[in-house]
Amino acid sequence: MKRRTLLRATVAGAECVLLIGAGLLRPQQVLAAWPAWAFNAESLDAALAALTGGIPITDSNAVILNMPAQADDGRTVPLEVISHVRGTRSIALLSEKNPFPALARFDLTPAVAPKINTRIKMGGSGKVVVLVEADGRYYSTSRQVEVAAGAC
Amino acid sequence: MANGMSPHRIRIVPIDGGADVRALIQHPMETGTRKDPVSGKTIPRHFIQELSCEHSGIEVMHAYWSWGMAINPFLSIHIQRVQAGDVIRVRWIDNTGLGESLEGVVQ
Repeated sequence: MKRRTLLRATVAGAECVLLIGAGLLRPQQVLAAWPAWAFNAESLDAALAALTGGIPITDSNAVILNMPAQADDGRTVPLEVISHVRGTRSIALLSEKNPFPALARFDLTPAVAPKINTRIKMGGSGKVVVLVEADGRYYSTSRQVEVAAGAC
Repeated sequence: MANGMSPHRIRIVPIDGGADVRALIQHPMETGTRKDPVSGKTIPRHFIQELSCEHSGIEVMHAYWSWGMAINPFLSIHIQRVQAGDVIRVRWIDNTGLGESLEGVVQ
């Protein structure tokens, strides 16, 4: 059992080296799974580019963002995301007016529904963006939300 | 279970052969930019960095968070197929290296 695990790890390692060589995988993704380059981005565009690796994003009404158009308290803003995009593998949340717009990325297996309920901080009135990854392509939807008192 | 003394909460709600997993976690989720109103000092960044959900020991979701998620985070996800007795665990680790977990059983 151990030997098999080791063998699999070695194969996975070798694949990573090949992918880096081919320029398909960023070194950061190998060194640390936590996407620091996205979370430290200071604009919405930079954060989106970091999350997608520069792959174009398609606006899609198959990505649903349910949240109130007005939030009384930016420190805790509830939202629901539902993705009807086939093969959804990850859902990322961003808030335009936060000092650091990228908030979270949820990596999903087929064992869970592509649906998330959670709460974010909002630095001010602006767009909340949902970015969905499916089969190497990116889809997004956004919603303008007015915040009475911002967090951050 | 061992959740009795925990300040955190987990609820497993069976729906349509699957289950909603709802977790409510006590965490300050400090952004690192807020100042202490008394001392005037900046409060260090302190946030949950990774959170995952396991169904019968198999990871079904893995999330990466920034300090932009709300204080005392709430998360609800839906596992597509479960059976009574299945153990569901939510675990997390923050940027100080402190990790905790919550466990629930499908009724």
